[in-house]
Amino acid sequence: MPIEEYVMYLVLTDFLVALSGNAGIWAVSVVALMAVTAVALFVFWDLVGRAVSLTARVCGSIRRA
Amino acid sequence: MYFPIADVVISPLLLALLGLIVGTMTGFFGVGGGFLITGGLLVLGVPTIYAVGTGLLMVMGTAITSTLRHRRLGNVDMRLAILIVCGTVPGGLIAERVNAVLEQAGLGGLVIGLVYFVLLLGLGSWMTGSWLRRLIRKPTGAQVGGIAQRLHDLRIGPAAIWVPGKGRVSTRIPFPNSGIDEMSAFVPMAAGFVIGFIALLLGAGGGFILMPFLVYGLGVPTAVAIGTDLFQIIITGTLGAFLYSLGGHVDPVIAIIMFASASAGTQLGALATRFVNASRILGLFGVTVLNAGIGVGLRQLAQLLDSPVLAQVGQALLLGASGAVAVAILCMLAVSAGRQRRRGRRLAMLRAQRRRRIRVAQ
Repeated sequence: MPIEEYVMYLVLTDFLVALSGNAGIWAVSVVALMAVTAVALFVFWDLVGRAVSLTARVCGSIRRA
Repeated sequence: MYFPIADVVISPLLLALLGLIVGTMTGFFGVGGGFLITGGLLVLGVPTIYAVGTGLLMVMGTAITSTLRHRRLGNVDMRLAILIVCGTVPGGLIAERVNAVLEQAGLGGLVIGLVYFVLLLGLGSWMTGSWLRRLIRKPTGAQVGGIAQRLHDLRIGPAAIWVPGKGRVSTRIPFPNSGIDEMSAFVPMAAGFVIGFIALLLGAGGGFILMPFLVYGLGVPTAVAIGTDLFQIIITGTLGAFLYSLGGHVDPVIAIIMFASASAGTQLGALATRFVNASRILGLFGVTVLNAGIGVGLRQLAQLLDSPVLAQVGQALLLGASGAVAVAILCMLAVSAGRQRRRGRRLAMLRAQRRRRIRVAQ
């Protein structure tokens, strides 16, 4: 692992350990983080699905032409 | 990779693989997959309490993504889901108190393990049996319809309630998305209460009980049952994840790595429900639950006999069979999509031939 990435990893680890010390804030942040990630990933996969169907439609019409 | 909260070293690739299996099953069956995630994390070496807490957080995430996907496909009956949730929350809170009392008495592990084993094994064998009976052409449709009709006609609680601004409103309401003409609002609430109680007593999302109840008990179409059930899992998953996070027993980094791959699996699983017929979905679900029951039974037996080898066999069986079911779902999706594509091509060819014939005739 390059040194910059390692330092970032250590900073993130320290931050998580420090935050987990405060039960209320930790619980709310963990649940909120997961909810936001879930919605973001749904939007991402939805866009991927639309892009795939659009590409298939364009390819089909090119083949027909 | 080192995970500081759970204090464990695990390969992120293994976590992603576990997430993909769980995600596919969540999208396809409408269960949170708590039993599978917890079992998988235990095999990967995560301490039990962190495995349960992280599993609940993951259940919540996959349930949100799957519910959004099923809502887009028109598979969520919001009216039914909200009424079920009204019963789930008090049931879950009472279960938490009962859990604390059982823990104090030192009976927690034994009672929960036994209830889990009996429920999974009973439900799994009943569903698999009913699927096999249907396969050898002995339909049980009349029985299922009978139970559903009796529950639709059941009159519990007051016949009407007073609502501000609307006056007296009947408690018997229609559920058009689920194909139910009229049913007392107290029936889904009572069912939600019982399911919420059992789910939080076991530390699970409750999907493996609610999905069969909706299909066999209320006669809801399988695809709508899956979507509606997932909405309820969001509530139980969030409640459970929050309570475990308060105790600091959740590792969000593990949950997010698993969830990233699970989200792809949920999309594929939800898509597969459009191509695979309902009977096959219920049959595969029965096999998965039965397999989970055997896995839990082996784990309990391993605890009694103090045999770590038996516990490992139970976990391996649980993961291996679930992985095989996930692969089967993906194969069915690929085969059905291929068949539909070939049918589309054949239709286009027939249309072109017809156009050519018309042109020649003209």
